[in-house]
Amino acid sequence: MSAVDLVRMVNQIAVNQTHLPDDEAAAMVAQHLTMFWAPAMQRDLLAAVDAGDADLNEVALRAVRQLEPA
Amino acid sequence: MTLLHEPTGRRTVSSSDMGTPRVPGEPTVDVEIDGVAVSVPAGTSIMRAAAEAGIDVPKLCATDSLKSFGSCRVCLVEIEGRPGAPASCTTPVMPGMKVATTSPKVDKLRQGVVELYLSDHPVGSCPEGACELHDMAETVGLTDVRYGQEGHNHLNIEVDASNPYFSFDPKACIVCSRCVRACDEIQGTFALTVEGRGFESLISASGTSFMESECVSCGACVQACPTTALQEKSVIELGLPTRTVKTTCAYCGVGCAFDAEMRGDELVRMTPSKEGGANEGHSCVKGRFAWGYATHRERVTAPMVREKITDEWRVVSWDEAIAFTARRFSELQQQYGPDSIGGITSSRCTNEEVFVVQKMVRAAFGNNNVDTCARVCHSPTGYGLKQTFGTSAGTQDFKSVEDADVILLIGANPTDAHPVFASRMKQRLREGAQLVVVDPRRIDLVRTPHIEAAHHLPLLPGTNVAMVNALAHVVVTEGLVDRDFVAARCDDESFAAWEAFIARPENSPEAMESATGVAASEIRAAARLYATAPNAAIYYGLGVTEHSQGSTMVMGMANLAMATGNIGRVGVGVNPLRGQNNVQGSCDMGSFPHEFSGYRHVSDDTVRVIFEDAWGCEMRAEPGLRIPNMFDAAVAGTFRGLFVQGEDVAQSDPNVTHVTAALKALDLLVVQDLFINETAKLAHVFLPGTSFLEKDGTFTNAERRTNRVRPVMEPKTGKDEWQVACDIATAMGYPMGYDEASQIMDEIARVTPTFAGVSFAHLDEAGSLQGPCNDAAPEGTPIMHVDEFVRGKGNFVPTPYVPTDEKANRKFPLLLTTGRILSQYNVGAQTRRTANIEWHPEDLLEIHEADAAERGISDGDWVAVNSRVGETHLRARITDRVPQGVVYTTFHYPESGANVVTTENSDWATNCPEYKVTAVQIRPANAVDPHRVGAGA
Ligand code: SF4
Ligand code: SF4
Ligand code: FES
Repeated sequence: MSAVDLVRMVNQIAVNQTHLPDDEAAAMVAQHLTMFWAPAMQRDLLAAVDAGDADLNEVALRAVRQLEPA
Repeated sequence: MTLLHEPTGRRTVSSSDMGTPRVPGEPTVDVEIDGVAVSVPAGTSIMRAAAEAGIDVPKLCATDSLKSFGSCRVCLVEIEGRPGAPASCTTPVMPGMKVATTSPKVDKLRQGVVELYLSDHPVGSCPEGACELHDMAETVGLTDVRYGQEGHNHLNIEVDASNPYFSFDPKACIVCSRCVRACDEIQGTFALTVEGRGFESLISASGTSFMESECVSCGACVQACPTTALQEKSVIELGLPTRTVKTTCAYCGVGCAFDAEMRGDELVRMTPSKEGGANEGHSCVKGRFAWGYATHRERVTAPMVREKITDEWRVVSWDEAIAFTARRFSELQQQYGPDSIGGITSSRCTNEEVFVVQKMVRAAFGNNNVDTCARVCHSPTGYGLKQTFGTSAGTQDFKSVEDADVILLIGANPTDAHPVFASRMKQRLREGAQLVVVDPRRIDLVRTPHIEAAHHLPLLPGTNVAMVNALAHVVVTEGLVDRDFVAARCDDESFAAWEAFIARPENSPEAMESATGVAASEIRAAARLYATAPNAAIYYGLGVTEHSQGSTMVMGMANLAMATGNIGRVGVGVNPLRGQNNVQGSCDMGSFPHEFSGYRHVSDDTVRVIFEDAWGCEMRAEPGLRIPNMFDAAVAGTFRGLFVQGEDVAQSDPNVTHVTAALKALDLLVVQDLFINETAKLAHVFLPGTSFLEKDGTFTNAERRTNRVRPVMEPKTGKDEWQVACDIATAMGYPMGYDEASQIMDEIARVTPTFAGVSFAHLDEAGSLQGPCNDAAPEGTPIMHVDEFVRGKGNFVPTPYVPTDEKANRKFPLLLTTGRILSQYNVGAQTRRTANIEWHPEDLLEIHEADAAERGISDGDWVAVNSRVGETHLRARITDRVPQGVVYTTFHYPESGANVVTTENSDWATNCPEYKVTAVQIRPANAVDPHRVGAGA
C-alpha cells in the first residue's frame, strides 16, 4: 500500500495519544497497529521507514520501531 | 335506506383493540362487568376493563393506541347506583363497580347514534370488513336507517388523493378525530385539525391538501381511521388483505415490526405491529409505504457475468455464475497469494446472510479480509464503547427514553433518520423532558410543535470532542461528578487520570469557544442541565462517528455518562442510533477484519479454537484489511478480487474517484444486489439478491433487539442469498451448506456467547430478544451494564481534542456536512424506486443567506461544489438552518455526487470516513453539469 497513506494514518493515531507520555503513547500506537492493521500494512510501513520514505512524527516512529517484522 | 352489506364479522384489527391504552400498575381494582369479575389497575377505563373480561363494548372514537376522547357516544354503559349512561371509554373503574354494557336503554341510545352517523355516510363505499361504522351497525343490531340522504350532508366533498399512498374521502368521515389524535399523540406532527363546529366539522390537513401540508405520511392516521375515509390506495386497488405474515422493516436501525398483509401472494399493505418492541404499532413513510422497489422493473433477478467491465453482461445460470466466481477467486489467490481477495458484508442483509459471507471469507478464502459497511458509519461506536464499557452496544432499549428527564442529542436527526424513535422521544419531550441538541444544523427537534430544545449548541463541524470535553470539564470542575457511582462502578485509576486531564484549563468551555463557535455560557448551562437531571440520556448518530475523532468522541460521551452516573438503569445511557436496519447485527456477526462474532479478537487463541473446531479449518490470527485499506491495496495492485454483498460502495463511500479507481483496478468484482447500482456497473459478476420480502432470517436493531424477518414470497431469484455464499465457498473447495436459515442461527448461537440463547423457535415464541441472550439472561437484556460493566469496572479514557486536517481556508472557505431526509434512504437504491421521490426529487445544497449573497447565488440556482478532491453540482436552497460558513446536503441521488467531494480523511482508530467535514468552495454554475469532475479545482 502507498507509504503516504500509511504514514498519514500512523501519524494520526500518534497525535491522538497526546494525553500520554511519549513512551506510553508509542506503546499504545504499536499495540493499535498490531490489533487493527493487516500484517501487509505493517510490513509496507516498515519498508517505507527502512527506505527513508516515511515522514513520521516522534511517537509514530518509536511505535513503528516496536513492531515485529511480520 | 338499507345498509351496504349484510354485516359480517369484525375486522381482525378492531377485534384485538382494547379500546383505551393499558394503564401500568398492579390490578388492584375489582369490578364486575355483565356479571364477570375482573381486576384492573386503578385508572383503567370501564371499556378496557370490559375488554380484559372478554367483553367488547361498541365504540367508534376509541382505540387502544390513543387516549380516550369521548366524542361518539356509542360506548355508553349503565353503572349500578349511578344515573344516566356514561361513556365507558372516558369513565374510570371504581372499586366494587357493577357495569352493564347492554340494556334496553343503552342499546336504544347506541342504535340512535349509529343510525345518525350512517345517514351521512355514503352508501356502497365501504368494502365489507373495511369500516367499523358498518361493523357497529351490526353490533348494535341496526339493519335499516330511517333517514334518507337528501338532507344537509357531506356527500359532495371531493376526495383528496394528493398523497401517493393513501387518499382521504371526507364523505366517509365520521369526525371521530382518531386521525387527528394519532397525528398528535403518536406521531407528534400536529398536521391535522378539525375545522368548523358541530355538523360543519371537517378534518383538514391544516387547510391544504395532505401532500402540501406538514403531513409526514407516517400512516398513523390511516391506521387509526375506523372508516374508509382514510385508506391506503393499495387496498382500494387490490382489495382487503386476507392473511398476514409478521416481519421486520428493512430500512433503518429502529427495526419496526410489521404485519405484511397479503391477498393471495400479493402484498396489499404493511401495518406496524402493536406487539413490536421497537415500534409498538407505529411506523414511518418508508416502512409502511415504500416497499414497491421489491418488484420494481429495474430489479435484476438472474445472475450475470462478463470477462471485462467494458463487455456486455451475459445472463447465465446460477451454476455458471458460481463456477465462474469460484474459479476466478481461486486463480487470483494462486497468482497473487491468499490475501489478495476479500469480501464486504452488508448491514441491509440478515444476520444469517452476513454470517455466511464472513464465514466464506475466513474459511473458504482463508483470510480475515472481511469488513462491513458499518466501517463507514458506526465502527467508532464499536471501538469507543468497547474501550470504556467493554462491548460495542447501545446501553438502553428504546422504551427507556420514556424515563429520561434530559436528552442530550448529538449529531443525530431522528425525525428524519429514525422517525419512529423520534416520535417516542417527542412524546417524552411533550411530557416535559428537556432537550439539548448538539448539531451544526438547526434540526427539526430544535423547534417543532409543542417542543423547544432547552439548548441548541450549533458547533462547527469537526469540533465534537472540543464540545464533549468542555461539557465534561464543567461536570468535573463544578462538583457535579456522581462520586458514589464512580467509586462503586468505575476503575479508580482511569478516573483519576481522566479527571486530571479534563479539569485542565484548555478543556474549559471558554477555551473551547473559539474551536466550537458556541458561547461558553450555553455550554456550561447545558452541562449543568445534563449532570443534575435525575435521568439523563445521550442519543447520537453519524454526526458523532463520521469524523477524524469519531472514536474519541464516543469515548468522550461514555466518560460523561459514567462521571454523572447515567449508566445502568432505565432512562439514561449512551445510545447509538444505528443507520441501517442491521448495523448492530452485522457487527455482532463477526464482520470486522479483527473480530469474530461477538467482538472477540482474532488473536485470541481460545476464541480461534472455537471456530477451528466448528468449521474444521485453521483461522488466521492477524487482522485483515478494512474497506478503505482494501481500496488502497487495490490501487497499489496487491488486492485483486472483492465480493460485495448488498452495498453500493461506489456511491456511498468517500472520495468516489479513488473508490472507482480501486474497483476498476480489481481483476474480479462480484456484486450481490437487487439492482445494477454504481458499484455493479464496475463488476464482473452480478449475483441477484433477495428483497426483505423474500428473506428468512433475523435483523438486530439499534437497541440490540433481534427480530424475525419472514418471507412473504419465494425468492424471485430462485435462490436464498445465504445459499449463494455457501455455493461459492463449496465451489472453492470448502464445503458449506445448510438446509434452512434457522440452522445458520443455531450455528451462530453455538459459537457466539451473546447469542447462545437465540434460535428461530425462541424468537417465534418471544417475538424478539435483546442481546445478550444466553444462560445469564435467558429472555435477553433490555438495559446493559446494570450491576457492572461488561468489562467489569467502567474505564475512563482521556480524550484530547485534535482538530481535523480538513480546515476551511481561503481556497475552500466553507465546511460541507451531510445528512439524510425522512422520505429517502441512504444512497436511495430502494426509496428512489418508490413514490417517495415525490417528497424529495433531488438532493439540495443548503446554504446560509450571507454565504449565498456573497457568491451571487439565489434560491434554486445550480451551484458547483468544489473540494480538494473533486467537484459536483447541486441546486442551492437558501436557509437559516445552517450557520454561516457551513453548507449541508443529502446524498440520496448518485447524480448529486456528495461523495465526489468528500475526502480520504478518516477516524484515527477505525478508518471510519470523515463524511461530516469537507472544506469546499461554492460558485454559481450556469447549467447542470452531468459530468462530475474528479480532481480538485
Ligand atoms: S378521517 Fe377517519 S379517523 Fe379521521 S375523523 Fe374521519 S373517520 Fe375519524
Ligand atoms: S422508523 Fe425505520 S424501521 Fe421503522 S418503519 Fe421507518 S424506516 Fe422502517
Ligand atoms: S368510543 Fe367512547 S365515546 Fe366514542
